[in-house]
Amino acid sequence: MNWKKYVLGLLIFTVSFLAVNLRVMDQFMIGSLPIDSVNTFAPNLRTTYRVEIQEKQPEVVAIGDSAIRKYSEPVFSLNSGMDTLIFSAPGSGSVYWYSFFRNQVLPASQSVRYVLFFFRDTTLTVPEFLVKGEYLVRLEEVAGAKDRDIYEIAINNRKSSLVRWLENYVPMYAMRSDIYFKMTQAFRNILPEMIVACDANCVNMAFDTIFDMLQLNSLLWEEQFLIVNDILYTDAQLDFSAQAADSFLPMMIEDAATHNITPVFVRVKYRSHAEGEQDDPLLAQYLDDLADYVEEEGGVYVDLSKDDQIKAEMYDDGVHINTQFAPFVTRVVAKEITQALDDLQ
Amino acid sequence: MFEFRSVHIGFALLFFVLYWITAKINILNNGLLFIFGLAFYAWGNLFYALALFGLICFNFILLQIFFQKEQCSKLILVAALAGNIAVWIVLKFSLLPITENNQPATGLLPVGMSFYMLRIISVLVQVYKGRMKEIPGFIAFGLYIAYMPQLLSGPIEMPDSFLQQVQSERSLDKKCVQKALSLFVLGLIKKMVIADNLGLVIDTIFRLEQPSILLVMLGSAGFYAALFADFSAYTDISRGISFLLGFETSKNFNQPILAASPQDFWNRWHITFSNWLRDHIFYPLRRWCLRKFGKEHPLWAIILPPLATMAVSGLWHGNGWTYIVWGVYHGCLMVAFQILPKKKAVIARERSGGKHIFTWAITNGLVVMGWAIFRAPSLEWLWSVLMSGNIGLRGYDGVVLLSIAGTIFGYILPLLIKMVVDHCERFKTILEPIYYALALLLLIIFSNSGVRGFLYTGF
Repeated sequence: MNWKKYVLGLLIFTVSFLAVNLRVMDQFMIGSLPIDSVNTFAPNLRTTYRVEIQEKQPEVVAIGDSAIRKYSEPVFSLNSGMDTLIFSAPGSGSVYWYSFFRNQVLPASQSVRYVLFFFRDTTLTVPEFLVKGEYLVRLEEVAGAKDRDIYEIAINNRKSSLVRWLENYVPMYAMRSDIYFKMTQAFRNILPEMIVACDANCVNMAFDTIFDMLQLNSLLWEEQFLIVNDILYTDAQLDFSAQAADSFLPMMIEDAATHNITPVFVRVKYRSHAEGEQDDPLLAQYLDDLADYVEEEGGVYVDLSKDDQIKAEMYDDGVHINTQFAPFVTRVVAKEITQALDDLQ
Repeated sequence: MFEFRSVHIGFALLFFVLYWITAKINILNNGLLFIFGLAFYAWGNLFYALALFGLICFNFILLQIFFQKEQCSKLILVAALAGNIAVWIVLKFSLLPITENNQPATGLLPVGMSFYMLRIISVLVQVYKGRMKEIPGFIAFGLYIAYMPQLLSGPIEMPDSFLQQVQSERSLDKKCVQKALSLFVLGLIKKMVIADNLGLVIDTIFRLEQPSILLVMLGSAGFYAALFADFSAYTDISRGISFLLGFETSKNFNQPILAASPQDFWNRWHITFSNWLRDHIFYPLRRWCLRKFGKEHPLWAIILPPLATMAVSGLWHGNGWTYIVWGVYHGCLMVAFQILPKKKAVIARERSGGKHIFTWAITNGLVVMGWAIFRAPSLEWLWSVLMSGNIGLRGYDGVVLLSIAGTIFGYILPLLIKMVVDHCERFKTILEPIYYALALLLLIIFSNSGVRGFLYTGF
């Protein structure tokens, strides 16, 4: 391109930029600047988990990532002596677990006595872990527009001042998530609607049927989150006292206490633990501090990595339990947790 | 995921200012580029940078020996190649046991090593063959191996043309800036709008335990588009940076979707890698086969070189069986197209008409099938999909197929429009500015999250 083309391009960009912004202001009913409508999640959240909890009224709800996917609810219930529901969200972190607890567990049940958060190393105090791109889409299943505080901690606090300024004063930038969502929905729905008269709801049903969560291949999720796990082990993240206050951990404990629920924080055991690998000294110190904090605040801390019954050969890979050993592992985990709860009493 | 922070921008600005201040002093200019390149690499991982620097030093010493002792150069070449390849194999195939931070052991392979190792081999072979008349200096040699914009994912430049540019004085004219700006916009569109978003859709399909056959094929077509967008985005951005540094680097892609035979596909896809394979494996092997089997068994010279070359290509991409089978599959396609009756081969070369469309459709269908092998989590997974007999038209399957087809088409629309713009010479003056203006608007909308890592840096 030569300079003439650049000037022409710039002119076209300026005109279309203004036109699109005016259109966005009209479409999203933005009356004035700065804009204050984007600092939260999309309005609607998924309610199927809440309905399930309402129907089953369990005493224990367990939340974690794909590491607990193979745990068996009946085996856990039998060995703990308490009805248990287990929710495993592959590729999730503390923001997902807290949102789930707040929006799915708390409004649904009066029967829950214990909530179990299964976590990996520093995930409880790294709120920005797994919140962007595809993970944000998953997060919006369990967090809604009213969860501004969650959005603030996990996403907004990490934004630069330039991004915040743009979100306040450039309508199309502020509304980019909504525009993006509308575009992707249009791509998704256009052909089914045109060819087989299947509307948006029908397409959603089709996706829910074909891409059911249980059919997800856990191994590939592992690959996904290994890509972003570096942020869990920086020196700053391994300093528990510096991270705890700005994380979801205090909120988990406080909300649980308000509803007479005991929060139990369970560190998951991985194959490397079973193979005898020791924690890095900084991580070991972090975990000691975490355990002290949880116990001081009235919660329960369980470190499964110290268990000696779950062996390396019981894993499919570094993280996930083999289906064949899942009942045994669930029994061991249930007993460890029940023991910790008995000790508390 | 990678996020640009102000420190990255500051680092880049400081570098460009210093670089252009020293533009007239070639050695200083090159030294700066080399040191900043290594520093940038070390920023990501100090071990990787040390390994790279060690390899540069080791191979530079080998080059000195080559030039001094011509009579034993073949022995040294074999030892040098074996040494370099051994290091690469050990790291690539995770032969060193490591675990850290409770992670399962993965490889130790430094990012980009698969690319710069090919450059090292190239330069060693060129020197051995006597095609380089004088020995490059340490900085020039180091720059060829660790040229910053190409360090992570190529393209794999040939030493002669690149070293010529290294040794000449650089100038930054307005044409370079113009080219760089359009390449940046195009690269960002390909990466942020197309590759990253298509990647999400495709990943979802390949995460299913047992999707239908048509869904896998559609996912594979989407993967083809996503991989092209991702890799060519890296190339565009890398070329853009090179223009700002006063270098002109290779294109690497030439509309592979238009390929009308497997050979044509490899002349359009990852071109510099294809050229490397041709020069370093295919031709030598073909010459050897012709010498060994002669005219009595001409089939060997037709079958063995493409099969072996593409198997190496597969192995280069990764250490799973899927990659090797994908490579062999492409080798088989090449052989099949080569031994087709001559009439059909002529048809394949035709550039217009219905017959061309037929060979184009066949080629692209076969290439898409190949990507299914490449992207599958494992061969067992792919086998179970094929054996399930579930074509994928029952119940909601058809709806999902249509929906994903619409999504893929929606995302690749900017690529298709670009192709049309490129072919409309008469209206380019007006169409190009409109395209780039709208592309910038799209970028604002799609600047929603951090950018995912480039796929090819993983190979």
